[in-house]
Amino acid sequence: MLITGAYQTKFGELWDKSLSDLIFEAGSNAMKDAGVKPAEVDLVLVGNMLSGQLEGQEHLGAVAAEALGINQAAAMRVEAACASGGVAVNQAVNAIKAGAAKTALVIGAEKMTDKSSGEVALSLMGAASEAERQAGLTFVGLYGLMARVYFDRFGLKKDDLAHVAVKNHRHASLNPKAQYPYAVDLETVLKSSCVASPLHLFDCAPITDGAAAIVIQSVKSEGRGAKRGVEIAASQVATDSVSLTKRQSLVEIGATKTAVKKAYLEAGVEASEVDVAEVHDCFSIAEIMAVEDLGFCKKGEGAKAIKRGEFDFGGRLPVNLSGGLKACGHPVGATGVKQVVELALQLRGEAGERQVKGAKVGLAHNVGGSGGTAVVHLLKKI
Amino acid sequence: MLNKFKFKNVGVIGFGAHVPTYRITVDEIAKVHEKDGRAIAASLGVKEKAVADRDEDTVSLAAAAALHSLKRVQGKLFKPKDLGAVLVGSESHPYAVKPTGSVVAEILGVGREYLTADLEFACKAGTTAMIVIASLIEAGLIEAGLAIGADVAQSRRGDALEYTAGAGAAAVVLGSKKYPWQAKFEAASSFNSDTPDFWRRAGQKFPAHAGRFTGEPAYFAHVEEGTRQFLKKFRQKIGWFNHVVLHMPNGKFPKKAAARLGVTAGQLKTGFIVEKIGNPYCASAMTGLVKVLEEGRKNQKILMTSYGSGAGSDSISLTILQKNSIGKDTDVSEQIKKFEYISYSKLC
Amino acid sequence: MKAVSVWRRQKTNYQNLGIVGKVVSKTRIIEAPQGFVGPYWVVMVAAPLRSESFEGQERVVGQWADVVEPKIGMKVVGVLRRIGEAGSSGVIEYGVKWKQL
Repeated sequence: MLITGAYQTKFGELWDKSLSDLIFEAGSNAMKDAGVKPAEVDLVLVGNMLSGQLEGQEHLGAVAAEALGINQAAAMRVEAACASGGVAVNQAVNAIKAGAAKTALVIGAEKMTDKSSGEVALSLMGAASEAERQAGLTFVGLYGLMARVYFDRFGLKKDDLAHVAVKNHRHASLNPKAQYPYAVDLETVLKSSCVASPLHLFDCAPITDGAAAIVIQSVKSEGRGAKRGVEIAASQVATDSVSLTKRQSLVEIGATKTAVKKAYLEAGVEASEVDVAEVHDCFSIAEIMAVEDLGFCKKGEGAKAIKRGEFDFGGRLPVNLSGGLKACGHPVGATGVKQVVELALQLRGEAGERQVKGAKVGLAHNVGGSGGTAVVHLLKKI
Repeated sequence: MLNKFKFKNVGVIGFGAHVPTYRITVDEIAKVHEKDGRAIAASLGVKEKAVADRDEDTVSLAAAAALHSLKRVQGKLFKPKDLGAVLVGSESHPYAVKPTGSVVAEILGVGREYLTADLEFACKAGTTAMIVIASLIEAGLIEAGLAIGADVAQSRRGDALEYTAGAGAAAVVLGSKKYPWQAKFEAASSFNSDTPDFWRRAGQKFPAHAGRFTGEPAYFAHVEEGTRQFLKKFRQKIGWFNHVVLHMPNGKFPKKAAARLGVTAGQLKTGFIVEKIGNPYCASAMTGLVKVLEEGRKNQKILMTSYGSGAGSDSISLTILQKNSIGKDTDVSEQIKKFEYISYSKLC
Repeated sequence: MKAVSVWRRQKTNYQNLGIVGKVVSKTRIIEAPQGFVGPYWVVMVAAPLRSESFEGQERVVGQWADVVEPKIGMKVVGVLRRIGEAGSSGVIEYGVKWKQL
């Protein structure tokens, strides 16, 4: 199973692009990259969370098929909150494994800037439970509750979070597709205003428009892209309770641990063999927990390791070279697919200024909500 | 005999009040209007008033008071489902159509089989609720009932009412001899007329009033004459009561009415709460009554006269039978002590 | 219609009234979403009050309804308050918020 085509649109406040425009741009360019014609695609999956709430548009599979001129494929939308993109990739992989498709086009897309931030904040609460919505817990608030417990458990302070944003912005300055392709200094991050304690503005991913797409083909297929193919060595989804109150622990995301364990097993790979990773930094605390949950460092050591530069470009395991969700941007449904696109570029040697030399194994980690869903993909250079 | 409510089979089996935590001083309000706060506080006999938080309303206050009152019921026999009637008197029911009583009953777990409808008579609807409930019990038609007076009073910015219009709730559970009585609910009478001293038209957010007309022809006429009629009907003398509770729209009116009725400062003292919490309308006299029930001694007699603009007064007499220390941490005096000042801008 | 979902939630909205618990986490929401008026505290409460650790215990989230700031480990009780924003014409929803005991 190979990724033969990969493409990401520019992420940002794309006022003149509609959701359909974004789907079209990502899908058509990914097919072009794979050397695949619309008629050859037999499965289209669209990862998206908010199109219904924000613009009243459902039925995205058919919308994408129309936009891309794909008439004969099975097309449908996949939704798992912020893990919509990653789960869409997983569903394509499963369909191909089952022989139900040979050439799948997976698009992750989100259009968020047509509505006010208050309305978007409300709609993002759809990733949480009814009780959490009733309590007025914003998405930031949910991670704020986790951060508070993490702080008390591991002696972390609010200022320790800042290194995540500094690192990811530095990486984004090497990525022309990022929403914020420039570095920020520590002071700027530390001075930013509180959103939901203890998380401040620079601890949070922005509101973003954007799309990304990949073409996955079963190995037997041929085409221009097959020569630059990247293998999907593992694709695993795990879930945990949607409610934060029903989790076993608030200082880790259990679904991540479950998914990555299954993924490492499926790919026959250990954490130490991962050369480059894209992890789900919807908030700084999320990246800190992610590097621990994925086995990149010990529990409680994440913030220190990030501060020391272990996960920097040039460090022992570069994390979020795209800029992550924080600096590349987080068009919710697109992120999971974008992460896979970024890894594909790295493993093909096409990542330009942010290329990790000799990268062979990449890990993509995508989370839905406060940890109700987690998806881990392991990609290998062939 | 007309309007002579004599009860033999009705007792108080539970009681409680809820005083909201926020306070705003007369001084703070006066500053906004560039007036002399100290002079106004002195002329009203009120220093500060209790006000509701953004997420409190008549229902939430009524439920809080009711929960305190149910907690006070003694013995294992009583359950909320035993309440045959739940009546809430208020002039700030959240809905013009949909009774506060049914929302409160649902919250308390009363079940489906009870009588309810909302009562309105300015500040005296809660005491009227008590008389109706007592009558149902006396007639043997229900065994227990809950009467609540609750309000989140509204006043127009700049109106004199701003200094005293407060918030609060008080609840009294009445029951037949089936339940242990903490006080005898003995007698009541009501005295009413059509007197337009203070009113609120349907659809209007704020009440209107007739200024100084709210004094002699309204408050004083009904409180004094209503009380005299009660004493005459039941052949009682004012001096026989250890405690007298009057409706407290401010700190001056009840003291003046008391003096004219021959009520001493000592009789008035325990149930006199307006200086620190203002006027919680339907909960004014009833909160005073609850405080007397909390602090009074066995065999002491209580006379309460409420007043509702429009206008009318209810007079009710009780005798304390026993002291009960359940729920002392929710005593009115404790709640008056625990407060937090709020600024005028934060209030609105 | 929001009225129907409010009615259906009556079964669960009053469950924690009077329940005593302990604050295990808190966050102050500064940027409130549409339909909410910030800032406000949201707490996670572990109840019933029994063990030191909250793992395995029943936990609930809810808004804070006291004038003092919530602190981790604080003993709290569930009180009835308005929840949500009914506006001037909608059905009002009531639920449990948390206050220091």
